[in-house]
Amino acid sequence: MNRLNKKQIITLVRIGISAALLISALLLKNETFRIGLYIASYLVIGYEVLIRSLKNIMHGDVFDENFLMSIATIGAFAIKEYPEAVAVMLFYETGEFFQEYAVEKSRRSITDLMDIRPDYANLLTDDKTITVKPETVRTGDMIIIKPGERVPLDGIVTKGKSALDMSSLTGESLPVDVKPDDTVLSGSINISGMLMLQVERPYNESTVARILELVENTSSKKAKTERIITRFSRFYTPIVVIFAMLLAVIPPLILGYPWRDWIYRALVFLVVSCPCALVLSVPLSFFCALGSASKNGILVKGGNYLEALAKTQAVVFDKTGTLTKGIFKVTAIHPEKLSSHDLLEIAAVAESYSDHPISKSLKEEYMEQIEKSRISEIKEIAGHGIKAVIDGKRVSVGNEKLMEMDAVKWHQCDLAGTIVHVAVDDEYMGHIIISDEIKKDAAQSVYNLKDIGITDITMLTGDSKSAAHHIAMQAGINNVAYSLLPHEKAEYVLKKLESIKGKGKLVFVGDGINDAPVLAGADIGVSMGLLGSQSAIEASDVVIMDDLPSKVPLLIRLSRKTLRIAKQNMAFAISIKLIVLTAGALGIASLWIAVFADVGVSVLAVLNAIRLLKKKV
Amino acid sequence: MKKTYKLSNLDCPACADKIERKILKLSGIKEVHLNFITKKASIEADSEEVFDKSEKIIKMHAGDFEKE
Repeated sequence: MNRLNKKQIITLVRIGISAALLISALLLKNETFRIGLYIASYLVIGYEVLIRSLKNIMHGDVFDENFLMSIATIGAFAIKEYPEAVAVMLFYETGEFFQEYAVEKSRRSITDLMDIRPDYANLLTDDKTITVKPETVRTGDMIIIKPGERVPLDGIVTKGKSALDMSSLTGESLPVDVKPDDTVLSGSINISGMLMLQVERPYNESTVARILELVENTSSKKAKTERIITRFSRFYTPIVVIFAMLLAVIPPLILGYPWRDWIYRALVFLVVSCPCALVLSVPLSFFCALGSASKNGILVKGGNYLEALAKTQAVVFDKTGTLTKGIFKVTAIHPEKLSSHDLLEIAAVAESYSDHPISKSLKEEYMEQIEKSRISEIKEIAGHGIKAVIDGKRVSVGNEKLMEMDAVKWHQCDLAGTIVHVAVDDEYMGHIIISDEIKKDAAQSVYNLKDIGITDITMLTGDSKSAAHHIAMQAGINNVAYSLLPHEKAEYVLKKLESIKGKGKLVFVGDGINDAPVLAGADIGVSMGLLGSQSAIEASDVVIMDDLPSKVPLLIRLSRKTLRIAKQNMAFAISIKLIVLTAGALGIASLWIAVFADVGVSVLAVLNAIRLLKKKV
Repeated sequence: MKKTYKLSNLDCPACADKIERKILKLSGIKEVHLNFITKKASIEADSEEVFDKSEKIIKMHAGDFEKE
């Protein structure tokens, strides 16, 4: 429950006093006294609106809601509808109070999400630590993070062990353990131990600054629905006000109908003429949805993307780093003539100078210390592999092209993955299979997408046919395009876009490495992970912060729900207003109903929009 | 030059839209964006005079504001 601020408490007191005065007026018999009480009740609740409308009318703003409400209530006084005059003002202010309260509440729950800005950093100087602003810390500086503090800048742990709460970044509530040499992202909270960090980048490039910038700018990209409703509101008020004037004047003047009756009908129009209920609910729906998405670790760069996501027809996944972990591991060793250990040893030693992910995985699997002095000669042949002289023997480690080059009698392997062949003195020694692991939730993501009716799912990869099919099968994707170069991925997506044109939107999900052009080319580009490159995050429309592909179906569901609620709100507000206007013109709607159509509807619409903030999508 | 303001009284997006359009009519204005949810107005203009005029419009429709 939010605490009320001073202004809200005063408003509540005014509502109470005004209501009490109105009730006593209704009970009173003395006519003069009664009118006095009505006026007192009216002024207590309405003085703010009256003052504001006076100010605005001096600036020539006749379509101001305060002015219209003042005219409507003063008009009701003039035709001696005292209780209704007071009640309209009273309900108007009560409604505004609730509406403001609800809007404030959703504002706060969303700005809470943005509350990841670190206030200070403990900078380590020669002899002591000093508290400084994170903006002043430079790359390479050492900082200290005590338990309970927020990590102010991205960095690498140099000392200490701890668990980090990264929920405000990724939506994942499970703490993450860190130890020396691990990377720590700013915005996470240190839970248990003291950490010493070497700062990796300045504040304005840090994770926290990047997220805040994304979130603050999201609402500048408006959804089409939002723009339509704002445009509608520009015409709505003037038209209703003009109708009100015609209604008040023409029938009595021309047809001789009673003035009082028709002025009353015009007043109903004035009360309903405020566009707020209409306009408020739609952007609020989108904003709540953006808030809910970030709560789930998904940053959406604007309402327009949510609108597009709701129309998703096809989803294209990149393989490495998106459906798979992007971490290569030795999964099998098939030696010939040697032991497994010796085959792995030769490969690991030969690859010991390389930083390629494949080489790393070999070294990791071998685990033992590598004596580089054993290598007397080494040559890397791009796209083939490595030739080296180890312990005086000629060693070739690489793909089948390297084997062909040396005319080694190699043979195929049935297993999926990247195959590293090994030959010693041109004699085939066997091969090692290295493969990438599929992410835990990859199959679930595909299943969930199909479950919500999206069956056009494709996987793209630069890998070989067997590696591609192996992963696709595990993920449950039938449609696979393999051995693609980066520009071929972009071409594939363009062709796909062409083929579903008019039917719906295309979502591309990638890890941001090498696929920035593809991300930009798709209707909606989703990139994985905050650690992806800056250009990828800029090129994408949605960033999934915790690398989970299962956030894609979740986001599509959320976007559909958002559009549904926005449309419900719009239809509800417009139809209630039209019904009350028609009834008002026919003389069957009272001012009581009119004031409900104005503020009641807007409160209900706001409450409907707030449903989107619920954690569960 | 770009300035941002935090508004105190921005009741509905229609009001934000109204203020936006009024400021946009000023000559010398480059860009104006009102964010209803964060209650922030960001204005880009060439001269102080334009900012003064914009501030008056904001004050009239949305009450007091803070410069950021």
